[in-house]
Amino acid sequence: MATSAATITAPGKLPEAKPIDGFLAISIVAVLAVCVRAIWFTPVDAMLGAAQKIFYVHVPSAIAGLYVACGLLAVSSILYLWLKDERLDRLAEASAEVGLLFMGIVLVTGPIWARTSWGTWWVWEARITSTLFLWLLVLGYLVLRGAVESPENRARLSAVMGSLAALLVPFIHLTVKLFRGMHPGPVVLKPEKPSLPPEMLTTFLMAIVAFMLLFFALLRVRMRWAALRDARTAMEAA
Amino acid sequence: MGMWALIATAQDSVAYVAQRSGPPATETYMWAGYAITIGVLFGYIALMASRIAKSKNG
Repeated sequence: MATSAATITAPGKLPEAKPIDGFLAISIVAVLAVCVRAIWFTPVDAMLGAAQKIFYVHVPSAIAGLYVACGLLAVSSILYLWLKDERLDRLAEASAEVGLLFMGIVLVTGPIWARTSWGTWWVWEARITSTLFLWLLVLGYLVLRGAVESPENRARLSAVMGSLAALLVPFIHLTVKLFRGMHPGPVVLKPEKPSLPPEMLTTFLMAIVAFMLLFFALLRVRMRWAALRDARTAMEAA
Repeated sequence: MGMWALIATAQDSVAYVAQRSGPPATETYMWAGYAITIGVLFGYIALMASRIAKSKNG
């Protein structure tokens, strides 16, 4: 059942891995276009000023880093424990690393926005603190992977840790309902119509699409590199 | 203690800065947020390019 990149490709030949392909190029253009639209062609919030526009990178990064990346980390880790397929281990590893990147953006842009709207860089409220804990857990997951030499043990241990770390995501999602804090409740996904004006809503939806494209493009590049790395290691060991 | 008190006091000056007309001037924060986001993303793409080149060349 286990499959490696070395067995997929011809013997003695490394798999194809381009750092920038068409998909990544399109997603970069999409993200840059959304940034231009958000900065110059979307209205400024009357209460918060231009800093509110951080919303268009902060929230899509949170959706990609928390929900999608950690969801993929959990699913691929659980499936790995069942199927023992190396590709699932590589998907979990790539999801964790790219997710860490997007969660990092969330944790840096959040305080910049908070400074202008809440008057402080950091508040130890439930959502922010639990997101920081998740970031540290995913960082710990990647450190664990680097510390275990045996590929089987590394994949098994990190699959357990990855699936447990992702359990924090539903809790983070519910923090705005469970605890009193500074984060607002849902702005777009709520029973009534979204509280954003149409121009802001359009930019926000475009930002979600662009950031999702970039997330999957980076995930693909990260997985290809992992396949290349594993194939080289197998080739050198042979 | 003195330093922390100074930081806490300094932080309070920015929130909801009262302006005679229009929203508060927070453009610098917006630019910082976007610059960090784009910088982090391009930095990661550069890291991936470097990793792939190293793995290809051994």
